[in-house]
Parts: sequence; C-alpha cells; structure tokens
Amino acid sequence: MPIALGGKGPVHGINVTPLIDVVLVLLIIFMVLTPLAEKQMFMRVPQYEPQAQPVPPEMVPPDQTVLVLKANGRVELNSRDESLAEAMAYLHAAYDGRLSRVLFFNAEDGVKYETAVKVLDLAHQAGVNTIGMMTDAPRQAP
Amino acid sequence: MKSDINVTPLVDVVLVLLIIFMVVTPLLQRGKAVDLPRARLVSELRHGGDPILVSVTPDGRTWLDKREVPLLQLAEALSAEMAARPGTPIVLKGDRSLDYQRMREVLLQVSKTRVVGVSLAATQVKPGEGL
Repeated sequence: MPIALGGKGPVHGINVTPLIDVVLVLLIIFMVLTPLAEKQMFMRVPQYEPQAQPVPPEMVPPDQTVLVLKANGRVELNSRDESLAEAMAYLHAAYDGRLSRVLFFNAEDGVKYETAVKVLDLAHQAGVNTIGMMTDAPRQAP
Repeated sequence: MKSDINVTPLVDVVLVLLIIFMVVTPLLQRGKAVDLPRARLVSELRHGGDPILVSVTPDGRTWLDKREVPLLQLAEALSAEMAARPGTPIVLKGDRSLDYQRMREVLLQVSKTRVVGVSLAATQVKPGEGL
C-alpha cells in the first residue's frame, strides 16, 4: 500500500524484518520446549468392589502373577521372596509367548513412588503389557 | 521496481509452524506441575485426545486438572468429569518423592469411578541415561 511521504514518492510495503525476528525466536522457543513434555505409561486399576472377599494367596490361579515391592528393595513374587533381578528374569521367561501379559502390582507403604514406577518400568521391559494396581495395602511381613 | 526478495511465503510458513507449536505445547503439559518419576519404556496416549489429569503434589494434596480436590471427594469429582467427557483417557501424575501409600489411596478413589484404564505419567529417559 503506497503512502505519500512529503511528495518524495511512494514507499512499497511495510518493514517485516522485526516481525520475522520475533516470530522466529518464538518458534525456536516452542520447538525446544515441546520435546521436554512428559509421556505416559499405561496401567489398569481393578474395579472397586466394596463387598469382594479377598482371595487368599493359595487360591491365586497359577497363571496370575502378583508382584509386591517391599520397603527393603526386594520383591515378593507370588508370595516368594526374591531379589528384583531374579523376579525380572522370571517374568521374562514366564511372559514370553503368553497372550495375557497382566501383572498385578502392589508395594508396601514405605516405598517411594519413584521406586515403584522404576519397578513397573522394568516389568514393562520384561514383557508385561498391562499392570493391575492393587488398591489394598499388602499384609506386612511378620 | 522491487529490490527486496519476497518474504511473504516465509512469514506464512513460519506463522503456521508457530501456531501449531503453540497449540500442541499446552496439550502436552497440563494439570498441576509435579516432578514426575522416570521410566525407559513409555508410550504416547493413543486415543481420546485431551486427557483428564489427576495430579498428586509432594505434600499429598490431590488436583483434578488445575483444581484442588480433597482425596475423599476425588471419586465423585472424577465421575462427574468422566460423565461430562465420555471416552476421555485418565492420566495420573504423581510426584516422584511421594510414598506409595498415598498413591494407593488415590488409586482406590480412582477405581471407585469404575474406570477401565488409567495411565501413569512418567518422564522418558533415553537408554544411555541413568534413571
């Protein structure tokens, strides 16, 4: 759009260079921030059943795996006390070629959430694809 | 006579890119800010778009999206939110310094809504980095 400036002839267009500068800087800021965004892990919470009877440990079907993370860093895999590495080796073998790769997970009260997620992450790497979070406290070791 | 190059297409492209990033960025970082636990194997949310976020801050307080909701009212508030936005995925963001006990209490409240699946938010670490 031509604007007459003191009769010295028209100026063609506005100066867009500062606009481009600002927009490019904003673009770079957003491009840097976007990969820092968080990602998710998938898990399943069992439905709440207020009247459900708790299943005693000896009644758990053999293909169900229950992993309880203890405050001392060891785990209880189907009521057997094992180290984390032993449990993951077992999961690797047990879940290979299985259709339903569900792991039921619980942790003792003193365990940090960060540690629990670390163990869930290891379980994912061992082939578990669905995690059932148990919503009642594990019975404490005597 | 024009001596400059034509920058209009450049400005168009850059502005469109800028708008795309401005729209995408808030979708990826929503809810209350917490220091998330780290994990190697994570997946993006596959469906449903904009998730309902349940956040638990280090002091144990619970937040539904940006609003503070006491633990005992969480199930009710979450049910209302799920009824308003059916099919929306639910993401649980817990601070990494929390005790698991608190997360279990929150999970119990979430399970009272009879939700089928919940995602746990985690920050991805690259294979080379330590957890």
